[in-house]
Parts: sequence; structure tokens; C-alpha cells
Amino acid sequence: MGAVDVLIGYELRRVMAKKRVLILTAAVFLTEAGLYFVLTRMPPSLTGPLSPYVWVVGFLAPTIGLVQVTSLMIGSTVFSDEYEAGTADFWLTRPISRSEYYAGKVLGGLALVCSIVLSYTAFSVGISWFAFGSQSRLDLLLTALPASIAAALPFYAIGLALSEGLRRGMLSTVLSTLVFFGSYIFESYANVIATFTGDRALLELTRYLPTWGSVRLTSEVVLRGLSGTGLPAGAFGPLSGLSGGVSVELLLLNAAAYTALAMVLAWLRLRLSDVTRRAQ
Amino acid sequence: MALSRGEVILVERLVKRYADGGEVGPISLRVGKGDVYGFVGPNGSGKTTTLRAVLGLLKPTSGRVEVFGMDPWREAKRVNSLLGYSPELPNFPAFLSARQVLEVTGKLRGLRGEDLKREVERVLDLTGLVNHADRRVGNFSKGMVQRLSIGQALIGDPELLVLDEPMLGVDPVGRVQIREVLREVSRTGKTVVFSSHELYEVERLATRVGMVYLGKTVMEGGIDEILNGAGGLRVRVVTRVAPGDGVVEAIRRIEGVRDVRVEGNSLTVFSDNSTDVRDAIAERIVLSGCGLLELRTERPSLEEVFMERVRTVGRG
Repeated sequence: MGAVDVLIGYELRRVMAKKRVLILTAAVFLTEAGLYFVLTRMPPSLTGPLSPYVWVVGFLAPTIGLVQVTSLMIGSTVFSDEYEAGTADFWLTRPISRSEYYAGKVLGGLALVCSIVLSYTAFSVGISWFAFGSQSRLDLLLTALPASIAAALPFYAIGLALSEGLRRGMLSTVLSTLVFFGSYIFESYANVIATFTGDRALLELTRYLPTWGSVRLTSEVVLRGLSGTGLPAGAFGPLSGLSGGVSVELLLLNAAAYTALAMVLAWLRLRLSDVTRRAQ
Repeated sequence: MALSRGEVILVERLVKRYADGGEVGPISLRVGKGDVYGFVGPNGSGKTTTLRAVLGLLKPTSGRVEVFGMDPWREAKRVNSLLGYSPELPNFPAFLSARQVLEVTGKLRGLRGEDLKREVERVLDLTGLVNHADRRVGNFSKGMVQRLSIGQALIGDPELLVLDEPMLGVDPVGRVQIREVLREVSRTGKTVVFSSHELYEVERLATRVGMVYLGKTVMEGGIDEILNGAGGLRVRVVTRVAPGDGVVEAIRRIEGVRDVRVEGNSLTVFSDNSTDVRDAIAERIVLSGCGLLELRTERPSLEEVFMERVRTVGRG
């Protein structure tokens, strides 16, 4: 067992001990349960054609915000909690390099993000099967699951960068949440204004926002995969609106750029600066 | 100047400037193999900064730090594999038990299976935490956390122990135990560096002492060398009747005498090291008719030496 493995195990335990992460994870599952409850109450004439694909609703719903917020909550405490608790000293005076510390902490948080995505996916597929019978095109999950994790990464990484940059848990959580909602709201307003005014430049500008790739990526991959199934346009309600026929590669590029930039900033700050002591 | 044979730590003119404008240094110290090195100074004098530079937790603004011949900032992993560290205010992940803290440290030091189990039990026993091994650290008292901190520093039997204020918040029984542990460690030839502003603890444990004041090294040397040399000679005299002003003045005029303090039948004479004033003092007392009951030389305490040094530095 290497230093990175020890740290991954520790990080998983640490994050799971955090109430706000548990509450958000519970919120993801409650949202899913609520959605399926509503769907089962709808007349079969409405849900009928959708029944074999209803797993998509539960799979996509968290990807338009909840997964990003949960990920940034996890990311924004990864390093800051250690400084605030005074345990950064504990780890960085063991025989481990800063690279191993960084890798272990980042991978530990990421493992939790992945397990949350996998859990709610299994939950939505399971509950769909139970309530609506056998489900089709589950093969799409082979690409949709990695896309979903990739969509969570930018805000996990932004949380990480602020966590290491500011070394204050609450501050980094608030700021990364502001980045998410600020970007989301700006993008929504810009889209509305661009629709009315036909301002292409404004529309183009939204492509550089961190939510642009993150929020659209999963739905774009899934709804593209379902394009040959004969489902009517807008079959998935507001989730369908996210698929704007944009290139998956561009969405991935946006998500990858924000993830890489934030990860590099966090790494540089950790590598080049002193280990600060616990705030007294 | 490079680390010479037998030296474990070399700190040479270390200066650290903080973002808030605070500055520490220049601080220099040399710790040899097998030394029990007491690093003393008041709060805020730069002890912790120096130790954190030794551990590779902070990068010196200027100066040089070497541990086992390595730069701890660049080679923190290798340096930390050879040392155990207990911080001034130890903090451990609150959701782990004492045993888990020791196991994690042991694993990172390469211990596995039965070896790890044995080592954890040895340290729990040594620090008196056997009955609390499976309690969460978050529920520990300050003294227990300090003991655990010493314990995790001992895991894997490192060559060098760096302890920042190891007695802080520890009850008298705990202090005795920690003192015993440190003596035992030094008996096995390991090197111990500990900081403290409790000078009597340093005097009891250290073989070498480094003093810092106002962020600068003001004295460094072997404990005997410092106590016998730096404070000058001190002669305690007990007389049958209280000595009068005349004899006190006569003693004050002896060449080499710096000060005389009188308390009832007892006189304390402070003199330079270079002159042995005992004969002259005895002669004055006998001639005065006070009756000489006792005359002995005493060495000053580390606290007195430190305060004297602080006064000297303060004067300029």
C-alpha cells in the first residue's frame, strides 16, 4: 500500500464525515425519488412512449446542477479542511512528497464524486425498471457515465483550486458556489437576450463560461444517442432543451480546460508555498 | 559551510520573511548525532519557524538548512522518512482513533502486518495510551493529544526526533513519562531536538542548547559550557551573623566581583569567570568576624543565563 492509497482511503472517510456533503448527496437521491414519484402519477398516455427510456430522466436530472454543486462542495474542502484543522502539518511531515499528497487527496475526492454518480445512476435505472418495466438503450451509459463524471470535474477542480488557494473551507465553498451560480445565471440571461436581439457575440461569449460545457455535456451525449429512437422532440421536458446540437468535442474541451487550469493552479500553490499553520 | 561528519542538522543564517511583514532571523544552529538539543526562547522568538524550515514545511527567504545533508524544502519526503515530528499544537484527524493515527503513520513509514501491529502496541504502551487506543482523537484531552503526538513521532524508530514544545499542556505525570521517553531515546543514540520556553525542562534534558531572542540566535553550546561559562562564577556564602555593610562593600571591591546580593545571613557573590574570588571572599568574611559557616560555588540556572543574555542583547 503506497502513500497515495493511504491518502485516498483517508480522504474518502474524511469527506463522508462532512454533513453538508451527506446532505447534498441525500438531496440528489431525494430529487430522483421525487421525479419518479411524479412520473408514476402521470397518465400512461403521456409517459407511455417514454417508458423504456425513463431511466434517462433520473440520470440527467442531477447533471444540470446538483452534481456540480455536490462536486464543488467536495472539492472546496479537500485542502482547506486540513489547514483549518491543523492536520496539513500531520500529513506533510510524514514520508510523503507533496505530489503524493496532492494526488491522494484529489483522487480520494474524485472517487467520492464518481461513487455518487454511479450510485444515483444505479438508483435511477433500478427504480425505472421497477416502476416502468424493462429499460432500453442502457448501452448509452458506457459513454454517458464518463461524460457525467467529466461534467462534474470542472467544478470539483474549481472547488479544489479555491480550497488550496484560500485555505479557508467556508470561503472557498461560498466562492466556488458563486462561480457556479454566477456563470449559470449569466449564461441563462445571455441566452435570453441573444434570442431576442440576435446578438451572436453574446451567445459566443457564453461558450467560455465554466457551466457551458459542464451542464450540457451529459445531456448532449445521451440525447444524441437517443436521436434514432423516434422519441418526440422535447420528450424529456426541460432536459431536452439543453441539447442544442453543439459539438460534444467543444463541450468536452470547455470542461477539460477549466478542470486542467484549476488543477494546475491548485498544484502550483501547494508545491510552491509554505504550509500554513492552523488559524488560531 | 557544509554539514560536517556527525552533524544531523545545520541551520545557517536562516531568515524567514512573512507576507505580513514579520521577519525571523538570522538564526543558526548545529545539531550533532546523539545530541539532545534544547532550542529555547520566548514565544514568537523564531523557534517554530526554524523547526518548520527543518521539516521542509516552509521555504527560507535566505540562509541554508540541511538535514542529514539534504535540503528539506526540496527533499521533504526523504528527510521526513528519517525523522519523527511532534508539533507545538498537535492536531490529528478527529474521526480517527489513536490506534489509526499510529497505523497511518506506520504504514507511511513502510511498516506492514505484524511489524506494524507490534510497533503500534509498543508506542501505545510507551505513551500510556493503551486504554484509550480505540477512542476517537476528537474526544481526547489536551494532554492525551500531546502524548499521542509524541507517540506518532516515535513510530518506526526514526533517527531524529523534532519536538516543538513537547511538554505543553501535559500534566506532571505525563511530563515525567515524556522525560523518560526522551532519555530512553537519547540512550539509544538517536538525536532529539526540542523547543521550549520552559527553561528548567531544557536544563534537565538537553546536552546542547541554542537560544533565540527577538528572532536571532543569541547563544549556542553544550549545556555545561553554557551554565559554567556564560553566567560567570557564583559563590554562595552563609555566615553566623548577618554581614554588615562594611564587609559587603569590602567584598564588592574584590577584583573580578560584579555584584553582591545579601539576604539575611546569606550572601551571593557574582564574579567573572577569569578570577577565582573564593579565597578573597573567605578572608573578608573571617576578618569581619561574621563567622563563616558555608562557602560554595554554584552554577547559574539556564533561566538566569538566558535572562542575563537577554539583558545584554537589550543593552545593545
